[in-house]
Amino acid sequence: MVATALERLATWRSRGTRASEQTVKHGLTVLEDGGLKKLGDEAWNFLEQLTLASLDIGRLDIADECLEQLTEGFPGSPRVECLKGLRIEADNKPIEAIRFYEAALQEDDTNAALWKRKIAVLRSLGSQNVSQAVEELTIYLDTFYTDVEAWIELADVYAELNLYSLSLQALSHVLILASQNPFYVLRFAETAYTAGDIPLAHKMFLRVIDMDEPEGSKSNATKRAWWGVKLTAGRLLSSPNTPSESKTQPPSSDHLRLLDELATERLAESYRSTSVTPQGQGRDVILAWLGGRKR
Amino acid sequence: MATYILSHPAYAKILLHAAKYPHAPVNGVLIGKKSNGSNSIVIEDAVPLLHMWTSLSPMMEIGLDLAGTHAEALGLQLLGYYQATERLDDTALAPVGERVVSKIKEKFSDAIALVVDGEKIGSGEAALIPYLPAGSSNTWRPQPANSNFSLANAKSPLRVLSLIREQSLHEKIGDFDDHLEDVSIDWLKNAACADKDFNA
Amino acid sequence: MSSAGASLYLDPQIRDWVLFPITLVMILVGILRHYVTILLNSTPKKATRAAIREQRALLRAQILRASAAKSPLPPSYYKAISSSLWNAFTNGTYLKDGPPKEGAEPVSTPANPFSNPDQMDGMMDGMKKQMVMMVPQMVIMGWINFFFQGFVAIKLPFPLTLGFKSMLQRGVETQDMDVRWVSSLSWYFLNFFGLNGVYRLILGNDNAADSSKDVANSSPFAATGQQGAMQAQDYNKLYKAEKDNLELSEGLYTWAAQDVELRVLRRYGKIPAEAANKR
Repeated sequence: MVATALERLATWRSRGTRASEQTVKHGLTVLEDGGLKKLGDEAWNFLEQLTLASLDIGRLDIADECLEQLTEGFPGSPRVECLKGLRIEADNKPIEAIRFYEAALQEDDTNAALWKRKIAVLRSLGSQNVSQAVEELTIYLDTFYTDVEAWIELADVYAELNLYSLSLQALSHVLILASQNPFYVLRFAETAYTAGDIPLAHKMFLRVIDMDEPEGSKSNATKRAWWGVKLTAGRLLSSPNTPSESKTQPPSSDHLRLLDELATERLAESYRSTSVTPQGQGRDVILAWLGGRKR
Repeated sequence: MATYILSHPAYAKILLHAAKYPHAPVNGVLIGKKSNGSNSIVIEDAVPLLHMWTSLSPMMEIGLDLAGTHAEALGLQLLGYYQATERLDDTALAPVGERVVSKIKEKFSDAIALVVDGEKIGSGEAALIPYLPAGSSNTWRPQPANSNFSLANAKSPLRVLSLIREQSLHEKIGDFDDHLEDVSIDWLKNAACADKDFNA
Repeated sequence: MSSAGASLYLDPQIRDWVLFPITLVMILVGILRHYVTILLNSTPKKATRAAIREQRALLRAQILRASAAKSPLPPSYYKAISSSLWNAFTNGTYLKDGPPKEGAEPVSTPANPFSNPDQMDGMMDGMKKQMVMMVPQMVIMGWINFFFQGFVAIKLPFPLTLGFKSMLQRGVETQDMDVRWVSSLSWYFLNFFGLNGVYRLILGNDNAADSSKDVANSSPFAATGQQGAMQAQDYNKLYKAEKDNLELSEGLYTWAAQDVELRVLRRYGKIPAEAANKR
């Protein structure tokens, strides 16, 4: 009983799995059986895992017990500080949590985890605190440049605030940090479209498709990208002189027509019923839309 | 001043969409028509659009176009926009929402925007705040309760709550984002979620 | 001349009172060394955020440059990041002590170890570690030489050339004795190199009693090489060098999406494969 529980917990720890209900269940089994002693040094990792899981499902009592033991064992540890902050957040006291993080950061401003929690809480407080969140994110990223998640968060905040060119700038860092991920390229394309740079969006949508090897795999990024190609090709054909902030050259109108055709074919294809897949819903509406856009 | 009546299927779909993605902002459009002669506008249905990248426009534009075509086929028009955020206390109409509803207003002069009020979901009242343009400017303002907006069926809020709690119906609703991943999802009609037979 | 065949008969008490004690002592001392090293290991000097930032600034440029060929970034975006980094390096924005005041030359940590407190600690740490390694070795050697000298301890199971005689038979020099009969000091050396396996069993892989690491560490060059090499460097100079690299990369830059429409059209057969220049 305890052995299987320990084993499962260890696997989840190594993979970072977030199976909170199960974790708490197994964790309690271990605690009740005095399994803590059997763990030796691993006991601390186990307590951390249990704390996070119990906070996640709202069992604050268990979290408190674990925190007590952790604080005794590792006073002043950066990881324990982060857990304490999360505990305050779980009490729905965001202002207090922010103050806690600020104080902890004064002591040790290299603790990236504390920063990110502070930023997350600021963001959850809504529009009044958004400019502070942006400031904090910017300072954080100035030091911890390689945190892709944080750059995405920044791009998201800028997009929410209608600051699309700043969002694109943030995404540009994401692209060089994770150049093989087509979803980031897709996001860049969609943001470029929203920012009004249609030629750039068009090229980036094509790039998503370009990145999709082997050919024909139905990745979700590629599906959305075909829609994007169709949309942008249509726009470029109807207004050939759309300005591009990034001075991107759109393809020639011949090629645009071919691309428009190609996108239409690819999209219509996915709505056809085959022996394996049922007919796509709303097919008539889609086909009408696709047909109507032909120039 | 026009009066707006929100049908039960429309109310249900809005709330179900919000319930399916509690941790993300969601949005969609409203379709319906203005009854001949009177100034009353019936919002017959809601078409859910996005739950990811809701601030970005390409898929929104496509979804809008498609929903418009779908509405026409039913003899209806696009007449509004709805949104819900992941924060209970955030009831402001997002900038992207303003843009969309302003665009809708170009074709339907009495366009309306609805923002889900997370704090009212448990109560028996409609958990929605209507937004209409203030005067001739382009700013959209929330309307006070008891204004010209009402539900077709006063029992809608409680009914939808029970649909979520007892039948987990919110898991069955599909929006345009879902459809882009799986074309067999019927986001335009969402027949399973219309709860058409509810006539309290 | 006694032949190699004539074997000496060794008192079994030698085994009990010489071989085992030496081995036991060495194992215990090794374990002790391991724990002492752990205790002595002061928490690695926490770099301040400013120091981390200074160090990682170079990384930013490297990441950018690594993407230069077939870059995911459109030209204007690549140039924007490149120029802002170039400017930052010129102005010393990333330096730990901040950009210099008007007119002054950007100051950065001098390479002189004695004036930089961080680096001093690094050096002291290294010296402490070396002491922990060397002192027990010397003590044990002295102890063996004192107590266990003057007799043959064991017979090596493998033959050796005569060259080893002087080293392995210290204290029992005879002309004819087979090199395989060795003194207790050589037993010490055998243990020294052989106990690594035992340490790994007892202390786990990453132990400080490992003598193979000692040998590498004892060279003075290795010691200085290991002190977080970054601390010794003059970031300002590094930044200046990086500026040149950035300029070079700008020249090498190409955009991955440059002719993407042609590739996609070709892939799906909308344009024939060769007609790449139809415009």
